[in-house]
Amino acid sequence: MVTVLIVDDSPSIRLLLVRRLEMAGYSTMTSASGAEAIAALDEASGGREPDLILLDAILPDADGPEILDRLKAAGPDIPVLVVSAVTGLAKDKAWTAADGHVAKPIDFDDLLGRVETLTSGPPRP
Amino acid sequence: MANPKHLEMVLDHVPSALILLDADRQILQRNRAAEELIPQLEPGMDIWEAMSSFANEEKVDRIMRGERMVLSAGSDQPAFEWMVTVDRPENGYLVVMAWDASLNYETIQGRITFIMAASHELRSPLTALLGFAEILELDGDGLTAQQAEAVAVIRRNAEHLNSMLDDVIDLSRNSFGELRLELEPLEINGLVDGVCETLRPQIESKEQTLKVSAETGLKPIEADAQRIRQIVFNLLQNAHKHNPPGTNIGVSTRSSDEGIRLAVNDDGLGLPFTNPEDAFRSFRRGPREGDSETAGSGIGLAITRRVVELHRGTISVESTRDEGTTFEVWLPYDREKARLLITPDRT
Repeated sequence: MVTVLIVDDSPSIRLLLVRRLEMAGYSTMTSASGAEAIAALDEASGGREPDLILLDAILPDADGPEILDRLKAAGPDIPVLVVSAVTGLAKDKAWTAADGHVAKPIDFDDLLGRVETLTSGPPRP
Repeated sequence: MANPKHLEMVLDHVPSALILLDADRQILQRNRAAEELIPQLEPGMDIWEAMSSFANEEKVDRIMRGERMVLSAGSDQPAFEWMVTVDRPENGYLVVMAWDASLNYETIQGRITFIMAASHELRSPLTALLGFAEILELDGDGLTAQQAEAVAVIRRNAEHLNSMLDDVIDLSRNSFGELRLELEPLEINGLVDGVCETLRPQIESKEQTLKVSAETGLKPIEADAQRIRQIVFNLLQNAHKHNPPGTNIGVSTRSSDEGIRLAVNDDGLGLPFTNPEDAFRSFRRGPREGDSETAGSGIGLAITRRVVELHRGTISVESTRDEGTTFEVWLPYDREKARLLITPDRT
């Protein structure tokens, strides 16, 4: 089953993403901070490594691009979509490692489409 | 070579108040800004006496000694930043300067940074609100009609809040000079058709009519297509939203004065302002009963005017109560040539 790691410090946004992704047939894991996400990837080596990461651009514990780079170092093959209320990140050099950007409020048709493209998609009935 | 008249002209156009004091600290002369901003400081008066109505002696002393200070010249007056020239001439004269403290660059920059940060912070809770309203809607079969209606109201209002945030961010950006145009040759009629097709279902479902009258064979203008689309969309949507069913809305384009004139008119309620030009001022939305949910932040038209002016065009409005409103936008074919016609920026 395709697993998505959701990294966001807001419990409401985490719950929202979990609900929508699970409704679409994905399995999910969550982290409330950059440090937690990086730890999750470490443990995951060998275990349940996510197939995709949804990363909130602004987290309380570290600079967003730095977390992105560390996630990419820990799991180079895992695509990362950056979720942000700020427009223009796609043009910002600091975020070049990202595989895509998602604007808040989230257009879920667009988000689910992109998750499907970047992974093998949800299980087919 | 130096003509004192010219210097006086220059001083009268300085936006800060400039007040010349003699060695006895009597007011000798003042420029036009001083006359307008702080009229109580009249020539012939002693500066302490003149300022006593809004500042105590100690504060005036400190300013006279060269300290910069923010003071308001009355409770309903804006705060001014005050200072005197530090370099004292031999005759003992002094120049007192005062300017609107809210125009200070750091103050403005600080406010904009704050507005931008606050607006972005608000997106997260909004994302949750909209997202869960959508989940409830996807689950529609499990809701009673009343519950479904409640969810629709939550969603509609969250969307409205979101579009107001877009406006706030857009306005802060463009007042900070960040609004950049991406110019390309633009066929205005094609763009107008596109916007009309987008809005027509909405307009017709409110039993309003939309009529387009386009002059054929118009030359392309040099413009930012996305921004111009935003303008046409705003004007049409305003005509639609703020008027009752039965209103006739029209859009027209024609060639005029080395440019294109685009008009959006309606025969609806008219603008709720004594002076229709007030519609272009940010946050000045006319009061109208029952309209608060559909009305914007009042920022839309301020942005519209700013975008038109960046294209070196003009926008005007005519409106009569219960007879209707016409907005007219003129955009030049050649932006470079239009530079000579530009009027100074309003604040």
